[in-house]
Amino acid sequence: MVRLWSYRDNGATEEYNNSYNDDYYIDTKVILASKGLGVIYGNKYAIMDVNIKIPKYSVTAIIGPSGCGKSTLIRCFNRMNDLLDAKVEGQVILNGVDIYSIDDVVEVRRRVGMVFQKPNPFPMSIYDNVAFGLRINGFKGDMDEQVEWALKEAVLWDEVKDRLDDNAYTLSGGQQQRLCIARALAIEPDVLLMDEPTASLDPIASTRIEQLITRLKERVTIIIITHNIQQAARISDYVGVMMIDDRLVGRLVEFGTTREVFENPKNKLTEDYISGRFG
Amino acid sequence: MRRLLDIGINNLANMMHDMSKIAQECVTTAIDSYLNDEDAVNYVYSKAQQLTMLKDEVNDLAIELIIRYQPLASDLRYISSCIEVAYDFVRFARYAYDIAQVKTQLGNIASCDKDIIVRISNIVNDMLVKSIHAFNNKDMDTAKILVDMDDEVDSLYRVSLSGMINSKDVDIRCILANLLVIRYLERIADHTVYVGELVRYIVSGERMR
Repeated sequence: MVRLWSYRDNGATEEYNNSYNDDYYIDTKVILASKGLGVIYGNKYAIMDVNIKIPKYSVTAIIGPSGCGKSTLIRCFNRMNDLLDAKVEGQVILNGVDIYSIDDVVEVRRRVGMVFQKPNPFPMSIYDNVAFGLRINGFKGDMDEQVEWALKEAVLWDEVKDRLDDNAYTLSGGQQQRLCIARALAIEPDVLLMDEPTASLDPIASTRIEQLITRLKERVTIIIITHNIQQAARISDYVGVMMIDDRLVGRLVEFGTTREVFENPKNKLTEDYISGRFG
Repeated sequence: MRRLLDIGINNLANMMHDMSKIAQECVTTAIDSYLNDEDAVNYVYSKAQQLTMLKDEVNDLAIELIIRYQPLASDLRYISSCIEVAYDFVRFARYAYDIAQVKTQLGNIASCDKDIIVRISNIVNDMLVKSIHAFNNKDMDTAKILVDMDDEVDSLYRVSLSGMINSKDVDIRCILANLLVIRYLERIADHTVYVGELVRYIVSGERMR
């Protein structure tokens, strides 16, 4: 295990520390960052003062107990909270641009895709599910080629290439989740948000998704929420830990390389949470 | 609420405690046998064998805890360190066995001057006790002391070696016997330092070796 971590961690800590530039806008090793990020539902903060930097082409796992604001946090990263009655304060900087300062929300969501806990294919064919995002984004290239590419990236092509016209609901749960990943990948986002993507899958389907995630990080930065600590240990390069404070407000209490956080956490709350001493 | 993992860690700690007592007994018995010209080879050998079996049991339990509970943070550091410290305890016994064998290998050494052995073995015994105390109590302050004590042992080892080279003593058996024992004691001291380093790793997460 140590060898695997050492391999994966090869220079990651040093690179991350070196890249820890105070200027959130010009740091080229960071693809997505938040600065003083807070979300208020009604008159109550759900999360407050979250400062995080997500390194490019890595897998970052966000962990923490239920209700600590993990989903609220990542939904800020593609402005999904705009759909709720939420007030967002602070900045979310994607490739040097504050996504809350621009009007084109569709473009934000094109750059930052999302996959949810339960697979949510559209009630249409496998092919159309993948092509859907391309069509609404006015894709001008070879649609068949792009659909095939996305399905191959999601390691689903071999299983569906002879049944592309079948309804997506005929796929198994694991296949449906990979279809949703293919749909998100088709429009070639910079960042892929995954909110407990294996929570509803069996161990074999989960393993395939995990393998897929570690492969995909070569081309897309992945931020994944998971309640499975061991899954975070297996697939992530960095870990962010969220906790609720005494006012029940979600806070980011620790961020570091996976090895640092899981071997030698700096925060006692992290230690207790990952060691199962919580509560 | 007590975790299931805590029960396993408690069992592991008890096994380590048992191992530490046997390892300590091996070393003191071997040194006494050398100083008093007694034969303790078989006794130390049987204890060393017992330690080797216990080391295997510690490894089995540690791996089972990792498989079952996938521990992290301080739990992981403690469990992984137990595997290494169990090996260090076996090394203590192995060097004790080597010390016990010196008399058998070199014949009559009753008349040899063993003052230097008394001096070094007092320090090494103290290091052994301190390293075991530090490990069983996760006492980082005691663990840190071991480094300076090891420097003292190394220094005495070098001085003794130099003295032996220039010695007028014509009894080569005495020179060889003392040299071997000093060497084994110096190695035991090194392993107490390794244990101390692991204590520091368990407590602070800081890797020393």
